[in-house]
Amino acid sequence: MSGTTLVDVHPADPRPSAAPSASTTSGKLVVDFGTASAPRALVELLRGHRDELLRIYGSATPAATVDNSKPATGIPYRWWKPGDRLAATTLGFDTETEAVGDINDPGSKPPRLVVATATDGVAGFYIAPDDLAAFLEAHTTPRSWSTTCSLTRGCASGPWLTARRDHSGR
Amino acid sequence: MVCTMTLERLLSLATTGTAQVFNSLDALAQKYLGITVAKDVVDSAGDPVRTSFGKYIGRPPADIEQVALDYAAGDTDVVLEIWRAPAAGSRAAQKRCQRCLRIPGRGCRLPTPGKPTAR
Repeated sequence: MSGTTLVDVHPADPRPSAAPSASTTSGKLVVDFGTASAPRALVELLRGHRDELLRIYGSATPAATVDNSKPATGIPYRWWKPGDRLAATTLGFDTETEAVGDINDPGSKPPRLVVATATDGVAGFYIAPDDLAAFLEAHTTPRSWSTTCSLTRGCASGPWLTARRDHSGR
Repeated sequence: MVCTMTLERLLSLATTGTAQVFNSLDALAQKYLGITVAKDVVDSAGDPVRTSFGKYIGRPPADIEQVALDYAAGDTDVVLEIWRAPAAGSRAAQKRCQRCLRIPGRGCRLPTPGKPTAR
């Protein structure tokens, strides 16, 4: 059997943590770690052996429903507070907002920020809107923010919102 | 600040002559990491997390359900993993980006606090 491998963690699942279970659905391998975090090395191992695992689980295990999307990186996240700082100079960064309006309407207002998230691959932070400016200031370097080489996606809203909050504090 | 979505579009434009349509985070995760990022997560009210962050506007951050925070963190983890992926395309994109950032006034730069962005 061939197909795409899906490796997901289900941290919000209220069931007591137990041994990981695996199954296939629609040609995908699904590994459920319950409430536990999956070590990065294990995830890499699963990815490396996905074809074999699909063959093993493909016919004997009933399909399961996947209901969460937390990637199995095992990076611990907590709310950012002043004084916290991510060590690495390369950061992953993303924003979650209210629903985006009509992007083709130049008069539409940008969506309001709900929470930002950042990680350096070792630790991660949830960042409240009111803390975002302070978070950015805590992660600039003596050179400039751009040489910190932080990342985001969705240039249409994320950085715009970030810059807007950075300057106006709103 | 580098946008992986825009970077992928530029890379596609430079290497294939067209800007690929499928450059969402999910598509990039598939392409560079071989994983699928599920987007059908629901919260305790049964609302899809992806499109329901607006319900938390005006409420304290502590009200945000853990499943929503996990969703947000998951996307960010994937963004970083994509950036670090050893795929040739990603490496080419990084080099292209680094070159871009060395040119004053060029690139997708976040304004320094209190200073306007150079253009």
